[in-house]
Amino acid sequence: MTKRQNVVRAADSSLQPPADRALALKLVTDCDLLRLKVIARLHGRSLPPDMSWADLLQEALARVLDGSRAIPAGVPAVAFLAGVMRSIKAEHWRRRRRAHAQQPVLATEYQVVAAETAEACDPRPDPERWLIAAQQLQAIGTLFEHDPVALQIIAGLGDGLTAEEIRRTLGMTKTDYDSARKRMRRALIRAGLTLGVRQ
Amino acid sequence: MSVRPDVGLERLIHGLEQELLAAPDEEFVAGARDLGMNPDMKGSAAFIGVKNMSPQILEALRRAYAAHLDGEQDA
Repeated sequence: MTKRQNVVRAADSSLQPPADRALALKLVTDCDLLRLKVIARLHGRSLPPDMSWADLLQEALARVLDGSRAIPAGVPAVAFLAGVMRSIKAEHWRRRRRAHAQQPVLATEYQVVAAETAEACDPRPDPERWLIAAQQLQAIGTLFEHDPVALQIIAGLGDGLTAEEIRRTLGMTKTDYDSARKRMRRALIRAGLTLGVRQ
Repeated sequence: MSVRPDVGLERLIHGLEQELLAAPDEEFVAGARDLGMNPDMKGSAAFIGVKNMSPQILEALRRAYAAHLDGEQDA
């Protein structure tokens, strides 16, 4: 191969989208990418307007590919990438708050809502984030408006209850609960794969 | 929901994310097919924003094309 061909090949590789590189490295499969797209669009519901779900997903893939976020042994790549998306989102909100000079907030003022979500929320409500969240909660409610059981499960998840706690609170059999979860997944997958710019 | 919207939304997203992580692959393929997409096809719309054109670029092209058509009608 000539030097020129090598340069062209290197340039092609750097222009390749992160998802294509992740596929080439067998880090993920096509189906994993569909799953990640649906998860990214879900996280996209709580992003500030200057960042899209596609940015979030590409950034997460890029960080894993460039080695700045290494996948620990035994952790599935998709679950890890979902975690990276959560942390990028939290980081983005923190940066955004810091940029607002009229509302200076020190990093130490943040409190972790739930360690496993890696999601930091300001103890003082941020009007913009509050509004986006209220609108998105309504949008998710609309997604399940014809499924009262799903709406109850959503309320339970929003209150931080586990699947078992929700099932017990609603007095549902495991079969009924699993069937409601399947309907919810189907609606989420549909919303996550449908064409559209934002949601 | 008995908490602030931003806190409630993050908890809800986390709960739903766990559902999606646990879902079998077939549900995603079936979801794409329900929308008339074929994920096995090269350039499938199911991967827009993931491994091909981003939705933002697609939207910009759509707008540019619409503007181009409007310009032709005016002329």
